[in-house]
Amino acid sequence: MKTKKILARLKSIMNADRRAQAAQSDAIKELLGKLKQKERELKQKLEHTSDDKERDKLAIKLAVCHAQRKKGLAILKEIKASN
Amino acid sequence: MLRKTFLPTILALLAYGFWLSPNFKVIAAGLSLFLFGMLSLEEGFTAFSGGTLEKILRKSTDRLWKSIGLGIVSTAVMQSSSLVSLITISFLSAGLINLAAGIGIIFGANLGTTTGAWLIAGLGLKVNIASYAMPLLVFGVILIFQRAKPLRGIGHGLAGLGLLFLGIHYMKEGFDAFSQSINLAEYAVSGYRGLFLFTAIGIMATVVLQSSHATLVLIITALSAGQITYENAMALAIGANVGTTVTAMLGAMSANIEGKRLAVAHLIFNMVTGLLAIALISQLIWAVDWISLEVGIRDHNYTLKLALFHTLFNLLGLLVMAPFINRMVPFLERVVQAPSADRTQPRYLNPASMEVPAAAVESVRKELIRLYENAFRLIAHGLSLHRGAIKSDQDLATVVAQSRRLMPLDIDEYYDRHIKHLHSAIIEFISQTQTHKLPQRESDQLYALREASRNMVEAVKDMKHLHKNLSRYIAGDNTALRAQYDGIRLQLAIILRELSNIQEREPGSDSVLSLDAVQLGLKSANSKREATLDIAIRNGRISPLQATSVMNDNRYAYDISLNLLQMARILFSDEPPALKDAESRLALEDSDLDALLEAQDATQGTMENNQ
Repeated sequence: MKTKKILARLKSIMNADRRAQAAQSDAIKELLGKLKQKERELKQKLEHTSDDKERDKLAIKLAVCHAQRKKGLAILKEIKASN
Repeated sequence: MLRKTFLPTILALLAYGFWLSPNFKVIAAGLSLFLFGMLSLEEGFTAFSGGTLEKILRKSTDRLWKSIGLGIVSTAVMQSSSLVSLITISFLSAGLINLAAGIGIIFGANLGTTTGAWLIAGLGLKVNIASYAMPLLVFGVILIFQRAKPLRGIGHGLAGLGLLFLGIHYMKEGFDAFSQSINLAEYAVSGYRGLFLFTAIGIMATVVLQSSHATLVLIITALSAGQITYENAMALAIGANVGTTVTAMLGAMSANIEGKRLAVAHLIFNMVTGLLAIALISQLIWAVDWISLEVGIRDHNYTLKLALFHTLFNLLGLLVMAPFINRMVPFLERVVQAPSADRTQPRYLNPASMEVPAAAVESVRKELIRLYENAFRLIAHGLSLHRGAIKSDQDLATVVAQSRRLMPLDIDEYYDRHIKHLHSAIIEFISQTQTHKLPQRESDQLYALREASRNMVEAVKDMKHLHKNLSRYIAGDNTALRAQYDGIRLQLAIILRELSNIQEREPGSDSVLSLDAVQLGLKSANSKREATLDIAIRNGRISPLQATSVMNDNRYAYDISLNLLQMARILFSDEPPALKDAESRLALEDSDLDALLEAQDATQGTMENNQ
């Protein structure tokens, strides 16, 4: 059992593709965290803004942020599924 | 003529020497192996450049003592002050470190390189290092044949070390056998005459060998075999120190102004150190004897005493010169003057940067930022807007409405002088850098930067087309037409302001992903402008002929905006490579943006119907 475990670990270390994929999902997760925070801030700003022009701008930013987050989550799902 | 005959003469002399003396052949072969080992070691370290080496260099130069420490440690580890100098020059040329930090590293490297003498004198001559060389060579060569780059790097390092050891071994053997037939020590010259003579020989030997390290190993092995006197060996070591600056000066010839200043600083340091060593030779000899007694180096162990002398006089130089580093910077700036700042000439692209992949990428990025500044100026003035106003907090619609006076601009001449020339230089630099062995990551980065440069040039070219009608209608009488062109000016001003904001953002704040929102805003504004144009045509306020011009110019403005945004995504992304990749995967496609725009229009339509 122990040898098996060691071999599995060694395999994962040697598997460059998997390591690259793990690094990719880590980076996407980091960005998703930032986007979530930004989305929250934008929503708050939108609630406290009455100027129509400013509201339009914020709505655009919010929509884009949300779409990017959705896209990121879909990519993460894809990576997980491929593993 | 001299250059043509130099190499054949040297080769003929060497061949004659080999025929005359088999021992000389062994010494020369040992030296060749040693130099080849250094090349291999350098190759090994450059395999890791593009990551660790650059990161260490960048992060450890914010204080003077750190720069000096870094110079000492990196040279001690790499056993090559030339490699450290070369990397420092390329980093300085790329603007990654400042001149004071560069001088600190070079000064430190001078002390770090003295560890080589200790290794050779302390270990190389006592232990049979040839026995270590064999396994190192075997492991090294096996690793060199591997596909993974880090393994290849380690392979070159191990093989290099093996060759160094083997070289030392052969030189030692050669000198040992040599001493049985001829005694070079009979040609020793004592007193100050000998000091100057052997210092000059040391300088010449280092200039020929292009490595003070190689000269030093030659001196130490010759000293251990009793072929030169301790006194003359000291003079040779001083000469080797001065001679090594020639390598740095040659390296700096292709560097930019900062690299040249650094080479002059190196020359000053080694000259001062050399002169100090000559002037204080008796005191240094006394200090070496005293320290040797204290630490237990035997009185007749001249090789270790020479290593101590080498360290001591370099340390003396460092102690004397270090307090002047900050004062040296203005002095060097005064003595080695930069040609007057010219926006048309490349500032960061120099062959020295090509040697280190990360420095090459950084040089191109910095040059592209200069190109962007020129393009920003051209577009802003083409729109008859001041750059200051665009970058300010003023309401852009008001700025556009109030700036109705046409700015004088020979756009073709400006394009030829400030854009085309720089763009060509960037493309040429990237092409030449690609001929060096580049890691995949840096190669991809350079490819992306070339695209950014192309985007910028495309934007500027479209601006040239747009400028023709814009300058005609900006102050025209037809208010509807003027409003259309004001819309175009406003749209481009918004893009320029957004780019300015993203360029000057705090590190770690908004990423280039926020440019997607700018692009969506652009799409939205564009479709609104098209709608107002239709109304103006229907009302007869704009003739169909004028309308086609506006449509074409709308297209130009839209393309300029897209090219600028695309350029900014590449140029202004300051995230680490993994995050950069993630950013590009999360960025929205044109179809995604269209879908968002449709959804937005639908929501607005419903709201209007409800009202």
